[in-house]
Amino acid sequence: METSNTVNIRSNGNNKREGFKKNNNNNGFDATSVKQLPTTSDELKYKHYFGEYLGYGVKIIDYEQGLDLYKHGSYGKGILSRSFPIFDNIKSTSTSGSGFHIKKKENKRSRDSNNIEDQLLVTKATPTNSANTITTTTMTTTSIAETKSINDINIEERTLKQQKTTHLESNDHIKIDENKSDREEKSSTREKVEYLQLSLCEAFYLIYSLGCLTILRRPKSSDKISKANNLDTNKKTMVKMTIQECWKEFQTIENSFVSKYIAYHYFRSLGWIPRSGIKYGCDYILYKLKPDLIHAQYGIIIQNRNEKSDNNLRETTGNRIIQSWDELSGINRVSESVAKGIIIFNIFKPKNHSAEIINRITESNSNNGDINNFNNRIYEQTKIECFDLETLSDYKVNMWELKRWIPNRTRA
Amino acid sequence: MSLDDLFEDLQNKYNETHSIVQIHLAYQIYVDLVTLKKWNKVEFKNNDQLIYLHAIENLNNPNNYNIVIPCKSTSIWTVESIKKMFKNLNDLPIDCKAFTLGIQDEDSSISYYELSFNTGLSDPIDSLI
Repeated sequence: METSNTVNIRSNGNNKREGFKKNNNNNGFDATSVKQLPTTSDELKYKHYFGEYLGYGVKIIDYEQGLDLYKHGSYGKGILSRSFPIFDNIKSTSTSGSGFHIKKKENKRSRDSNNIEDQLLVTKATPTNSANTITTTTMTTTSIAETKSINDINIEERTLKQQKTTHLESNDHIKIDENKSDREEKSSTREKVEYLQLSLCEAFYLIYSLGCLTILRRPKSSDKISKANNLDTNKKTMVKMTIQECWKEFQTIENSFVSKYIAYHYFRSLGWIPRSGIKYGCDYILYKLKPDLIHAQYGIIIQNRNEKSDNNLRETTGNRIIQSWDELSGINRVSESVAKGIIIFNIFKPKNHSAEIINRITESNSNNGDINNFNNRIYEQTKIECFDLETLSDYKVNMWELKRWIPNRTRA
Repeated sequence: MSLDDLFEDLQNKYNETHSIVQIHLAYQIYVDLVTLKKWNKVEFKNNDQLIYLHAIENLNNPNNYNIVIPCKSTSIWTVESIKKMFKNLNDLPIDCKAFTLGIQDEDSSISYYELSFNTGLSDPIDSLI
């Protein structure tokens, strides 16, 4: 049951908001163009980014926006690079295939009409049953115990300031220009292949805590789309995902999303940059400054405490609890060879947490990329425990740092 | 063929039978192998359940191929499921004993791990003869 949340605007000393009209009657606002969203006014220096939901990550649609988003806090990763999307700056004739060298000569491209603001048309759709929510993004305050205020951290590292409050009454449909003729003209210059991709936790952090991202998805059959703007037939219609929708969707596709998000949010709020730890055998690795400057200092391993094993719920939670010395020893060995400290991050669920058990019916024919799931062309019903977003602030965390102590080396 | 066109082709070809996530994962591996690592020949294949790739690094050495199966980093594995999956692959060369997993994280970091059924360990006494 969705309740309407009140507007909570906290200004950071910049009170001018022309172009943002707030309708005081029903606690919502009407935006007929992208420029009227709170974060895209010309006077504000902050941008609003747009991403497409891929099913397992979020892709930033516009290349320039991706670069900008990366520069303001190292969010995401270029798909062809290790961190910053620099693949397109490399001469095509380079013999080495890696994306690490930045050559001085850049391909000159004329990207005159690819300004995404011109191409997007925010149209209002009739409210559907599934998405009739009024959502607010508020600045996270004490969302997790022991977080410092976000303001302190952002002044040091990022120029992007967080904005709150996007009030939406219904799903807004955004049309994206897929103008093919434009692209053919530019095919003589090198086509930009790379884009920035965000993980689910990063994307959710941007929409929930910072409010500067809008995630779009392809329309499903259950969405009602107004056919009012049918003039541009080469524009593709995409549906905007609300925060609640994102929260539910991400939990259903990834078992351990809540724990991963808690860890991500916690470290981001402290000023660390958590990135994927897939190559280091841990859940995240923490960078103090941007990844290009120094190597990561810590690897994080997330443990869920108080996790009940209930046979009715999903069988595998992806939760790792270190239960023996050899596991710890293995982790320690890897971390030594990659020169990172290990932090074990324990998450404790609140006792009175509210969760709804939803039946997720997989409509797709195949297994969504999950190799173990071979149910093909069947409507499969799985029960998943879906936690409420509001309970996020009740989780408790603590951390241990792991270091190997070698007696020989500590003798005087 | 540009990569955008390739993606559209893939979508059109596999939209009915496979999910969009699998198409994305397979596409990401293709792009990684072809544009970044400059492998010579990478083809898409599929069976009922998944899309996978047959990749040859160097055309001078076509027998040195890899069957790459894209998967998410959050997949949970069992030995049985791996065996089952291996049996279900189509169009494999006869002497194929190994496949490579292209494990992708949500932000598109890829790690490749090769799994083979022939461990190469032979009985020590036999190897001396």
